[in-house]
Amino acid sequence: MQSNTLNFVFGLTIGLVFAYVGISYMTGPPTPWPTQMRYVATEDQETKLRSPLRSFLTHEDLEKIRAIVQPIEFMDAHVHNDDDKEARRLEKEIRVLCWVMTSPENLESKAKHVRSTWARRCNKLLFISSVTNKTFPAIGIDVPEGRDHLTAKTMKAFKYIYEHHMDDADWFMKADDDTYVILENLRYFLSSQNTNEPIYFGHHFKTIVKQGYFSGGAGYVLSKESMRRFGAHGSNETVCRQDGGAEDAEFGKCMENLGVKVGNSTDKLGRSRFHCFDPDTHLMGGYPDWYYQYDAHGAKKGRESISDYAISFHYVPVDKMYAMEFYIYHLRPYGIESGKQELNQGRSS
Amino acid sequence: MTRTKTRFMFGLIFAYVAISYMTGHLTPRPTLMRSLKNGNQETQLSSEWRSFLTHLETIRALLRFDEFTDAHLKNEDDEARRLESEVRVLCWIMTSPKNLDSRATAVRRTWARRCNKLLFISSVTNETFPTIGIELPEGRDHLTGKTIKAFKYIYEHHIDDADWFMKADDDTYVILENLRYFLSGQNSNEPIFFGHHFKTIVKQGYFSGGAGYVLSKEALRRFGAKGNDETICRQDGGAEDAEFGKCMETLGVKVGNSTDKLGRNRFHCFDPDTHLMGGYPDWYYQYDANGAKKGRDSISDYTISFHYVTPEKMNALEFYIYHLRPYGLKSGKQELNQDWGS
Repeated sequence: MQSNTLNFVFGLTIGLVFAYVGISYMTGPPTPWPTQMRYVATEDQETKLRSPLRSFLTHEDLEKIRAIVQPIEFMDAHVHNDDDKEARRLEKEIRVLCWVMTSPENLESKAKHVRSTWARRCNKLLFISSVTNKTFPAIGIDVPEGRDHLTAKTMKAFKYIYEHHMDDADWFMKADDDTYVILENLRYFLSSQNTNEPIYFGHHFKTIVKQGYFSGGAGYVLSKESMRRFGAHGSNETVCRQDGGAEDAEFGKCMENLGVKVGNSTDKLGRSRFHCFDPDTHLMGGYPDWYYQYDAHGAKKGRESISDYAISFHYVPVDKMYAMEFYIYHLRPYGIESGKQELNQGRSS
Repeated sequence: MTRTKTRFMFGLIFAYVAISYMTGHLTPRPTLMRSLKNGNQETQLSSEWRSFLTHLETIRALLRFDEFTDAHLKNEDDEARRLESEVRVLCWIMTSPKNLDSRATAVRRTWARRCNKLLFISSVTNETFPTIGIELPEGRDHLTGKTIKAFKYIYEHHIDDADWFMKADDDTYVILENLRYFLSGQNSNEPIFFGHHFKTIVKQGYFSGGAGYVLSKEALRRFGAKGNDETICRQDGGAEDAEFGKCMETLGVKVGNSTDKLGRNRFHCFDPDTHLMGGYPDWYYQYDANGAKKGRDSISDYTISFHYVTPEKMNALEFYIYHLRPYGLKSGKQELNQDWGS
């Protein structure tokens, strides 16, 4: 063969090799395509669809129903054949104290249903109100009701818990009486965290406080070390504002001053676990304008923005709490055994 | 540059360009993506893509992305897959041209992709969606006609494609795994059908149209043989589900019992929240054959269907049923089927 032709062939071969390598590198793994198609699909579901929420129940009907809602008993756990060994193990190892912020007029209409649904899964449960109620029971913090005193309620509540219940739990969670929490998923997340670190977790807002703070309604959970620091210096007005302002932002400033870090609770796929709104809102993305300024993770929406091991939702009305109990712990597709997913990230900081 | 080096470079560049051109042209994906981005809701698949795809495959091609996103789930669904091949269900969805973009799209995107065979029946044929056009005007006065013609169409074209034949509305949500579980205890060669039982109007009762009802193969055969006889089955007018119920009774097809072992319903007339809280309209108490129960006692854990489900709610139900999970709780297999057939 002529040396010219040989060189051409040689060049051709090298060119083919380079082309193959170059193109493989540039096109990359096939995942970008599904992402784009997914985006297109959810784009269609913009809330221009004005379908009636319920076809015959008016808003008044709904209010009437809510007023007379009786707690629903879900007592058929015995036929489920559920294997809950892992959940029970975590329940013993990761003790969570839940305190639910409520008020005298909400005890019967809201707090009662919290107690009948998710809150019974807490290791220790406290309802904190402005008036003591021995039968419910609710602890009365000496603070007037109203939005102007939510900060004081929160400060005094944590103080009370520090003084009386520090040894009852490893983690300390605050929730509202319209928050819904999935305790199994909270424990799963906390199993990857260290309670002797000064850290706390919740739905991250990036404004107001330098390191950001956590939405009060979505619930936030403090480590034992955070509680110790709060117990030691939290009543000092120069460190923590004792009343007034927005409860969650003020508490966030307080935590920052005490050196308690804002922790990251997104899962391995970047999905959120603590949520400011109810599931339907996060799924459809009908967010109020302020959310886009506040949310620290891009105000994502849709099914892919919520972790399968989601922990909390807010603005959950009473009837929705029973519906969530039904969906999460009862309704099942036959023949699909949900597998254990590894969704925790490494140690957060 | 010497001649040899020139040849070398020429070969290199030629090879690179050739490979790039070939890979760029042979990948079908960009075509599909472009089409989806251009049409707002219209899905214009390119013609060579469409030519070898039937209805369900067309739909599945659009929805394939869902399989990628669920890959992390690590579910053990052998049992569900086994039932999927053993108990074949054809779903036909009653829809209309104005509902294609909102409701029918939501149905297609969520639960209906789990059917073995899926047909959308409308008054107008739409090749891209796709829907089959039954020649009847839209409106409540012709729902009976639509239903009769739809089942006739299915009898003529699709009776071998499935073992069971389910009708649903475009605001019905169906959990196919639970439907198959229930039907696995039934015999498709019996003249029988199942749904949410109403005790009025028809002697043996009939099934709510919105909650969905499912016919056995024998029931469909009998309908195919005699269903167009006006003296046996009213061909149009009246309430679709009641008229179809009379038709079934006249053909000797029995109303089947689909309550579970704990006496709870599996087909439902309303959405889940309504059944849990019991905010029923007055007529329901006259119609329901099972005492219009509410709360926990009214809904089986292996529930099959709900009605009046908006597209947003369908999306939420997908999330609750197939994604949101409590960590550490492995749901066990419950024996909820009753032992007798009907």
